[in-house]
Amino acid sequence: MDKIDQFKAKFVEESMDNIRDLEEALLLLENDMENQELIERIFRAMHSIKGGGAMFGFNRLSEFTHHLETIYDNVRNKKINVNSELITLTFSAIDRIMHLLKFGDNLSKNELSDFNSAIAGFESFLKGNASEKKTNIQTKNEELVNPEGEKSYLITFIPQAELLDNGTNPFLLLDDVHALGKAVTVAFTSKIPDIDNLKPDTCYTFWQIILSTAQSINEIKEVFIFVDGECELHIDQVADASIINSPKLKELLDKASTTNTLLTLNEVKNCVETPEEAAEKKKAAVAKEHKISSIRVSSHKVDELVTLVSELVITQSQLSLFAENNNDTTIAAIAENIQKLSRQLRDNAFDISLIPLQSELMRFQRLVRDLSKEQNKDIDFIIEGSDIELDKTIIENLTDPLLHILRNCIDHGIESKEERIAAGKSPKGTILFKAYNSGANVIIEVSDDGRGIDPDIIMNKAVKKGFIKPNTQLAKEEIFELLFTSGFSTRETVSDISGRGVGMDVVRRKIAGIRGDVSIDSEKGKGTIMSIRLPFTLSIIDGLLIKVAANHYVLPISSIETIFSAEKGRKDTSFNYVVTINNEQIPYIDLRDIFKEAERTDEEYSQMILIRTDDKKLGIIADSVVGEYQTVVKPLGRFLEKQGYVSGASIMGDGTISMVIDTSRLLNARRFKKETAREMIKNPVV
Amino acid sequence: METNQINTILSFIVKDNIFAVDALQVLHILEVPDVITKVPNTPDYMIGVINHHGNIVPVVDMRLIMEEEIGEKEKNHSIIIINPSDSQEIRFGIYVDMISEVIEIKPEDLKETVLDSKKGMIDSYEGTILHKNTFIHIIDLKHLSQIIDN
Repeated sequence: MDKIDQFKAKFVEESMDNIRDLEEALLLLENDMENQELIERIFRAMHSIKGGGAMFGFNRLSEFTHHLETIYDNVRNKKINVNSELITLTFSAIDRIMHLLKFGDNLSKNELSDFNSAIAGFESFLKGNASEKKTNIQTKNEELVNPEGEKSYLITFIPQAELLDNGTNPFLLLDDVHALGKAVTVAFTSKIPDIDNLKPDTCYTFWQIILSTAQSINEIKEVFIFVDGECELHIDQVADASIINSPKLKELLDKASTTNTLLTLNEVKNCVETPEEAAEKKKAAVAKEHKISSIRVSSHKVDELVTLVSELVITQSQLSLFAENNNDTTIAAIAENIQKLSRQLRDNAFDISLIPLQSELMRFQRLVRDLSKEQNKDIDFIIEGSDIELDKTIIENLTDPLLHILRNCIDHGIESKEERIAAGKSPKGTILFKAYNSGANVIIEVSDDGRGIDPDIIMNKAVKKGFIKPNTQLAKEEIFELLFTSGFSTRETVSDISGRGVGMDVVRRKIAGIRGDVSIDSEKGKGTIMSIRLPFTLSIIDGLLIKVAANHYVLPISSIETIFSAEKGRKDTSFNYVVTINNEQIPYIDLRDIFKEAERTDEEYSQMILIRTDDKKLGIIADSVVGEYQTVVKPLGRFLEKQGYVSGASIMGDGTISMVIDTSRLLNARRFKKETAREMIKNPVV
Repeated sequence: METNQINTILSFIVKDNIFAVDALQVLHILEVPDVITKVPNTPDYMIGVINHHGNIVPVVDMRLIMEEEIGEKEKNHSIIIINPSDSQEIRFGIYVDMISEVIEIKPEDLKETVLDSKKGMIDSYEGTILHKNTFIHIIDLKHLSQIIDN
């Protein structure tokens, strides 16, 4: 990639951020149309897109955004009021901006005319609304420029030579002036004679002060009241706003102190900023704040950092092991310190690599807004847990399935207003998007209070499609499971199964790709819940180290219920791999079977670990439990994705590797082995 | 990459044959570690994973890929870490009987590989060259990683 392409890519990336910000502000603005801060935010985002676009050769983008910006400039200056028409217009404009970012200046004829008509739309909007609100511009404008009522004064203070005789200290006077507001002082020293002629009790110096204050001119005069008649004093108002920070003034002051010439009133008046300049500066100040609060680092660098830190942690545990074995207290102390530091470093590095779900939520809100408008449905979209953090790759792969799920909610879940009223529900539908941590997992639930899914319809359809035999008895859970079968539903048959199941197999596959799982629960007439369970693959897990044959494995502690010794007697009474624990029948598996190790001899001692995910329980038989172990889970890479039992690997202190067992997959392995419904499905999805 | 031309190859021995891979895609050559951790539910040729500088790297047994017998571990046995692209995701190691040498090749010396037997899983090669009176078959690494992937 050559340099300019790099810059372009960077610009596109930054613009996407700006667009996200824009959308967010716009959604907020829709509920709070008077909010000046939001309008500023929108304007700023547009301005950066426009500016950057022109710089990196996205000329159409720049032109297009310019028109939009003009509208918002008018909104900002209160010439136009925000209304829903404007917001809808802006949303559609944002889509076009994204298109332009993607394809640059190469547009087809149709697209071009689409853009031109959009621009024409802006212009007519501008004309239609511009006349509305002209009367109070003037006053509002002033307020905007000068919110605190500050004025600027030029004070020229030329004391007579005898000033010091009365014991007056001119510096105290200057201090008093400074206390009134913000001030800059220039001292003129041109009258100071050579050292031979210098009389130490004579005041040679004189001053000019630029003062910005909300106090009246009389307050300033009061400062000098005791030197009245002993000095030449001029106080003139130069501006209606603070000019202290003006760069022009700074220049002027520098010049004055080097040339030792008094500032004239006109010179200072020229430093007054135009409102545009003031706004520009405000913008710059805000932009600066943003830069300090966060920095942009390429994800590649973060990945590298995480890898390095993991390596450090492993090396550190080797050091600890060494220190322990050598009984050298000095090394042991150092090793302990390094252990502490590397643990902190590791936590930090992992924290950096996680990003909050928030970053993607805007797209969901947008989708819900657009679709509900389109279908004339009134929908409350409630988001809980937007601060939940997930690994970057997980979030990237999660967006599409979630968009699909939300689309289903709106298209098929939530009924029309009339239908809802007829069913005795509130006309306003609700979609709840909820994310929370549950042990080593993050759960995302999308629930709606729509019409739900009728299990009978699914059954009929499954029979018709030949997936199951007629009269098969299936649990509700198993019926919903059918929805994930590939080829179960196509678009043509959307309506007769309430639409759910459209591409659900794709959703499941995508989520499985990030080692997650998805399930549906629904009650006819009341609504549907889609739950997505996700691991934090990259994060550290608290694990239980167990041994099976010669190998060590790690089980996530969060999924473990109890551990007990699996005595021979207890297993003997079991039938069909089920044990009874506290009067509960629990299926179990022997890891030696699953991992195809040599069979356990009768004398060998073994332990059973009871794991649970959701409401499912499973006993796992392992040779022995070694102990608790905190570890970094490393991905196995693409070639080992398909094995299905382990979710990653962990490197032990001595450099050897232990597999991290994926408990929810173990549970599924068991479930699918036994499940009758599954066998009846002709083309099982793997 | 503008051309797919291979200029330098690393040759190695599996049983009685000499094979080679594009040297540019070789990341490291390692001694066989004491333990290669088995991954459950994987094909036989997937020996397991090793810890390579803190990364988990799967290792496949070239002898099994070539459908040869495997004997005891010997001193000469080595693992070549292959890095087809910069992505750590698709890095893998191949277990070979012995590393032979690094050879500069001329494109015109590269002849189409004639598959002399039906033995082995690999049926696509980059080509074959005659070097010091032996044939060296250059393995198509893309093809190999596809085999492992399935």
